[in-house]
Amino acid sequence: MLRHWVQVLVVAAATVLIAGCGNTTTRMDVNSEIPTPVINKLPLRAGVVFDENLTNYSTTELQQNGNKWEIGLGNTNRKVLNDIFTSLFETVVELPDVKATASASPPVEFTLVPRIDDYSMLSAGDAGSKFYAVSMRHFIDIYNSAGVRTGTMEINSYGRHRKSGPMTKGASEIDAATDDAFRDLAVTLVVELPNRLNQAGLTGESEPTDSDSEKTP
Amino acid sequence: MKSELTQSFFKGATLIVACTLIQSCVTSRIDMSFDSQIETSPESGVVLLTRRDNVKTETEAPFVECVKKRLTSGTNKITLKEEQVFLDSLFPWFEPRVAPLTVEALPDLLGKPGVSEKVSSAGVRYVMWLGGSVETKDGGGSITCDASVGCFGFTWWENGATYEASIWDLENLESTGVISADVTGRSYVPAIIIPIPLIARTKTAACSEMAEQIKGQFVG
Repeated sequence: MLRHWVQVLVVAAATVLIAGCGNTTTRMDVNSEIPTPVINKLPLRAGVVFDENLTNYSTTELQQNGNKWEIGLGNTNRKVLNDIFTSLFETVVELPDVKATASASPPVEFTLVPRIDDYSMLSAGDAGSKFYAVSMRHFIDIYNSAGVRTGTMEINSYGRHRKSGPMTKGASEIDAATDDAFRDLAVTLVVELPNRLNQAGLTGESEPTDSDSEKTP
Repeated sequence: MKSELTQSFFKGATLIVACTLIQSCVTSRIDMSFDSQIETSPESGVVLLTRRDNVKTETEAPFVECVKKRLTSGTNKITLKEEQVFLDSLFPWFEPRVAPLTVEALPDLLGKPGVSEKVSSAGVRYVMWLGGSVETKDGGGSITCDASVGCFGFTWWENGATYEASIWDLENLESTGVISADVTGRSYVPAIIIPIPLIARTKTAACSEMAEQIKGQFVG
């Protein structure tokens, strides 16, 4: 009887050991939020296209120890970008595609098509640092009211979060680092997008000329 | 014979440890530059913000927490506004990518639509920027361990901590003062059968001295 139990224990221990050596795949959906920016809305009507590349975006990140992270960013992409656009512009009209720009109701002065190009995560262990780091690259294609592309804005965003302890699996750190990266994305959009639209002549304001610069004290 | 050898060996070991304990110390230097003391009230509060614009020199979270804890306790304690609440209420203007690096950038920042109103409603008049970090400057020695006889040897290293707190007055758009702390500590690990780590508490010393000096500048 005792021998039987010893055999059972040995098999159980071996199973646990083998399972412990295996790699794990963890699925997580990031749900970041950003605070309302302290800015005045621009008196502009913007069209926005959220395509599937953006709203269904999911990526697989592989750590050096073999563990995999499947990270879903679709919801956050849509929410953060929509929140920023509605904070920046007086009117935001969601369009099914760019072709709908010219016939949008109410009419829009330009259409923005955001897309995500890359998301990378580096764990503290892989980086040999105390931080989990995240970097993202988004593009925003800018179309005029006729639906013609006038430019593309590239946005590189970064976030990081300190490793919370030696036993951490990293989920909360990756989540927090991604939150920071989306916050960084929002900062760039708030600060730089109005300038890009101005340069593209889509804000109804003329670009400053040399003579204007000379008048500035 | 063997017991005599062991006795003299332990005497020697005790002497080395005692010498090291005496030698393992922290030296600090605090520099301050203030025109006058700072008066605070519930309407003109203080927020401590961490500099996060440089990864290499970002102040460690435990150090920031230590300074906050010491500032908000004991005699002459200061009431600090919540950092994250302040950052969120003024988003994005104090985020690392766009936060003002010098006091000269304040007029431009507070001139942005809605920013000065938000600062007022947050009840913040003074921003205290905390920056700096610890780095290992030098070290040497070695320890060898063996399963049968234990560890023998000696190793040491020197840590240098440089921290700075700059206090800005958001009402008068000027720098109110700067406190900097340069702390150096030498840590030792003598190993006689077992390693005995004698760690210089560089960060703790910097935190304690800096917080006390800052508190001394505030009245209210």
